[in-house]
Amino acid sequence: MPHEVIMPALGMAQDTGLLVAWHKAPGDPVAAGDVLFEVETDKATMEVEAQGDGFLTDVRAAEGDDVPVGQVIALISRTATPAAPETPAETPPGTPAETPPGEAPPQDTAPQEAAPKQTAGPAPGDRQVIMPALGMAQDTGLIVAWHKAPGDPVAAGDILFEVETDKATMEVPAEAGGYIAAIHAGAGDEVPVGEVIALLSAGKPEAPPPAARRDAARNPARESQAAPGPEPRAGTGAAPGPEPRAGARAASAPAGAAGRILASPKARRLARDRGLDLARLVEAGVPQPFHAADIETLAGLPVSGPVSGPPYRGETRSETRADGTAWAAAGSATDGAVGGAVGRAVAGRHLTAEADPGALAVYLDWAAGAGLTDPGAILAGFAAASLPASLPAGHAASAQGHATSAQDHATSAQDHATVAVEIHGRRRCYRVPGGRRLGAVAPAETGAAPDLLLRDLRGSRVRAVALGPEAVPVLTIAERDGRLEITLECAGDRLSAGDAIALIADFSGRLDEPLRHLM
Amino acid sequence: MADPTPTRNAEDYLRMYRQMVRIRAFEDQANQLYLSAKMPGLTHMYSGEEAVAVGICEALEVTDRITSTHRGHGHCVAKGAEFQAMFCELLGKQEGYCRGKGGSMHIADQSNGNLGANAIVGGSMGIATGAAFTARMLGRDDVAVCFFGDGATAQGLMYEVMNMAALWSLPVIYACENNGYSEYTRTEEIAAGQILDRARAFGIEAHRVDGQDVLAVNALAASLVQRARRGEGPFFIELMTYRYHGHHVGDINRDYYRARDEETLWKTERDPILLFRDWLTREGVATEDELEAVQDEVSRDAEAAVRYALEAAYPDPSEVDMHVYTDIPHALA
Amino acid sequence: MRQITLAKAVNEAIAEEMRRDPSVFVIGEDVAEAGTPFKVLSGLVEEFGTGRVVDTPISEPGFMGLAVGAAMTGTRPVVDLMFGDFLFLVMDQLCNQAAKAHYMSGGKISVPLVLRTNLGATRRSAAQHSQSLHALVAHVPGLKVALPSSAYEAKGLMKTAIRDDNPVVIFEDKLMYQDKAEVPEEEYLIPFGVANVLREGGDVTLIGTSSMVQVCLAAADLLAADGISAEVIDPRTLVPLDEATLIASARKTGRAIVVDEGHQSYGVTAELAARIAEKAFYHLDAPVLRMGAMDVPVPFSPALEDLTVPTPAAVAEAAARICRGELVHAA
Repeated sequence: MPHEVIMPALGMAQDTGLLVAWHKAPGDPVAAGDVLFEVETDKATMEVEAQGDGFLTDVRAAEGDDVPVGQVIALISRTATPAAPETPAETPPGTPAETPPGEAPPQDTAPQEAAPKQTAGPAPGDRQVIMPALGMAQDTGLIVAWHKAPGDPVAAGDILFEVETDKATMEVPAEAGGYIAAIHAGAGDEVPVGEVIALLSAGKPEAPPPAARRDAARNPARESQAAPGPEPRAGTGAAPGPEPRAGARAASAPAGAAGRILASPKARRLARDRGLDLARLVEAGVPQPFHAADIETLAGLPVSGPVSGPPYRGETRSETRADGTAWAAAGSATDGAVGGAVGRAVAGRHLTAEADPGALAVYLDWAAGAGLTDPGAILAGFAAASLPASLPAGHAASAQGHATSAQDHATSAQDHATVAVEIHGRRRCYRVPGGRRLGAVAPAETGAAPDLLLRDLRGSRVRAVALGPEAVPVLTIAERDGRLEITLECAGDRLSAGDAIALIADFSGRLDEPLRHLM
Repeated sequence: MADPTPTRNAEDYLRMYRQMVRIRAFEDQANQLYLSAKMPGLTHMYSGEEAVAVGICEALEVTDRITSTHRGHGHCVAKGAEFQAMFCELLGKQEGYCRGKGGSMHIADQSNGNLGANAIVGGSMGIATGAAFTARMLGRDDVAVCFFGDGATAQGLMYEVMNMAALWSLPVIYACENNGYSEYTRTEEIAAGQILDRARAFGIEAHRVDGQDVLAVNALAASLVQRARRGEGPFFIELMTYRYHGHHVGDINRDYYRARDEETLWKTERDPILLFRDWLTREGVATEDELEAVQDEVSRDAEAAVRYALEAAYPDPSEVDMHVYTDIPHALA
Repeated sequence: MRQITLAKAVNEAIAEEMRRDPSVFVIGEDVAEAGTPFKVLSGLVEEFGTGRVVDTPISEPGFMGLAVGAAMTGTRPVVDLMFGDFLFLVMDQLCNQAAKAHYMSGGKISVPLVLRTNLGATRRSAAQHSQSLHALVAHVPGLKVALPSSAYEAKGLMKTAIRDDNPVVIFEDKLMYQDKAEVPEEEYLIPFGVANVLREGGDVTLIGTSSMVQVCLAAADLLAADGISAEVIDPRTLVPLDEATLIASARKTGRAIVVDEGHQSYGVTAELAARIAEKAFYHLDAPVLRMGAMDVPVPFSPALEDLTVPTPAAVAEAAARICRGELVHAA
């Protein structure tokens, strides 16, 4: 006592029952076997009998209700009036047991989310925030960090969250103002493109919304797919281990004008291990596909002289290393992601310069007054203007996945540069059109890969950096002994010595005398 | 009621009664588990057929073997299984008879000679015949009983094994539980001719008995088992019985193939437990109160076993690839 | 060392095991006086009697099911299935019952039986008596599958199979019963899950099953004349599979061809090739090739039947092409 009256299981394909009629009213006496109510099934109307004696109380479903199978709809109690709530004889059926094979799941089948969802769906007027499309071959995005929390106000253009693509970390701005009503996926979650990850409401949400996962450490879901258990969000069930996507994409980066190089897995591995460039076999006229035997041919090719032309991003030119061997092959699986570790041992360039901090500070104040409130954009403009003319200011491969050709490359050269500026750990990408108008510096298009990275460490305690070459040249600004210390680091094949010197000198000069930039 | 075999005593009768009550209680609880959506998958109720399983199994030793069907809880209980391990198995828990790996349709209790329920209709006929073959080959006097339904007489395997059993005089008893329905179709519509004639076609001695009369069933079974041990087998029994529930627990709306009043008739006038109860009290073997007490005690045992099973642990995930082979602890390691 | 036929080797294995263990018996069609149509079991009934060498009616499902029940209850049947094609008749008892009983009972019931049958075409027996269906049973968890490639393998694997407590399906090539090989007089067993490297080489790995092992060895001879050194491996058992040996060889040579008499599609060649492609990927200098029987029912006419199975020349040709770096498929 009391017995629970439940909506019974009705058959293999049915998970709710329509309560057609009650045969007893609350308070009525009931004997075991009495018909309590009728349920409509897909075949007929079924009478459900009482399983015990007592009085019908706590009726929770009415005629016309569609009740999920297993749900308690009334009690048979010792007395007619439900007094203080008695503990039920058995644990109420919560989530129904596993569905048998072949049956439709009895409840809503929303996948388990890392962050709790709001119980209701979006209210009218709410705007959905979705995982944006990230490029043709990318169908999920890893949320790296949220810049807003539930309840926060949001202005159009505010950065909501950062998502990692295979090239860079991309910031996703809000398209309109409002308040964060709910966040459905948190930092570390891998979310399919197009899926709703947050809601913006027009007005401030009343009830405190469920807390989202804050910028937690990146969870291991990304690393290992091998453990059984909760459903992996990404669809890539099969291969354990590190993300194969980045490598595959980089490997498919076009080899300049030659298109894709065909080679056996063994040949590629041997070339990579020995730091040989398969492109040279192409140039040497060796027919594809290349096999392991061709690597010996490759190793025997004459070494070429110092490079003169611009290297392609994501590619290396055949340039000798200090020991006379050629650089690693293009498109190897371990390099390609901007900001990621270099997968090959390449001697780097490390240059430093100085500038006056005062001049820059004064200039930035003045610029803010003039409406240029984003110091990052200004620095990006200075940096882009300092890039040597020989560096393609355009993009060798445009935003992920778009078909590229040598022609695309040629027409976009020199018309703009993409500069990533990292301030206090936050990175923004800017598109800097050719010319010096700082006001024309705009946020870069989604997924655009930077030509240059600038780290502004002013205000931090870092005095000097020697971080090693990254995939693109990196300019770092730090404060040291009342001066600005500017450092340029890049891979040796990325910029020639002359170009590197010119870049850092030019940039430092602009910082020192900003007004010169305008002339 | 048929005249009982003289060698039975009150203790035997009470045990038979208790076993039938246990089967009924088990099935009631199992049905509730399904209706309250606590049981994974489906199961098939034996309620109404208790006298068949009990009557036959009471004529067997623990070393005799049985094979069962998808409607196997009754045979399992009758051959000596315990509630707790049975409920655990139905719920897929580690303490189940099969460590949760078989479920209702494959429940087996090896130590009591139950070679298992079988999800393939007629699928266990070969197995029972093989068990009889082993007994013969190793010189034991064990007997094997093959339980199957009227629906299984449509499977070719039955004729192949009856043929071989007859050729080799194997100690196997084929027990056809004819409950009038083969899934959702009446038996007349799926079985041409007479079921008994099928056995007789192979020269196998065949008997029909009222499956609701536990003493009649037991008497016949005991006599055939004795003869089978002496090498006079095989034998065939057709037991006329009735299943109260649908084909499986989800088969609730079955008016379209079976009339309500037919069900009611069997439940009120042909119930094997009620019939035996009448006999026991009439013959002075037990009083109503004593029998009621057995009922209550069994109900409590069943409830307690269900509560235990609901709380019991599931098998550890690492068991998923165990027991695929006898000599490879983890098949996927 | 003496040389005996494959038929004799199987006969010896079964006889020795029946002497050793009184619970072992043989059951099937025409196994007793007739010793089976292939005469492999001749002499057994004389030694062990009809109680242990049991002739059955033509009831494959029936005696397969009976064997399952017998194996569950204390005896060890060796079931003789006259032609591998009849596997389709016994699938329910073999795959739904025998293969799963140990698992479904949580380890309490075991089925120590051997299903002895055959494979192989080119005997002019047409489509329903010429199939090689070992892939079907290798696909079912709970069964072990052995493919002896010579008289030596046949005896050693059969003895292991009979002593194994799991259901084992062992396929002999019906074309090989009269082929001789060196077989020791002393007792020996060949463990399951250990592949045999019959010939070492550095340029290409040839993996063959059953009679295709001989085909691979012949191909290796042809290749040697061309200066190509082939390694030939016999996995011996598909389940359990000695994957490590196959992968190590593929890594060494960088090229692999799997040769099997099952149909080329959805079969053993696909499984072994996939594992090599997966686990030796970075060492492969050529695509992993599958060479199976043609995906057609086995034709009757000799002019057609012989076209449908891999031959030494075909294997050598394929191996030579990949060694030369030729494109087998469009790039």
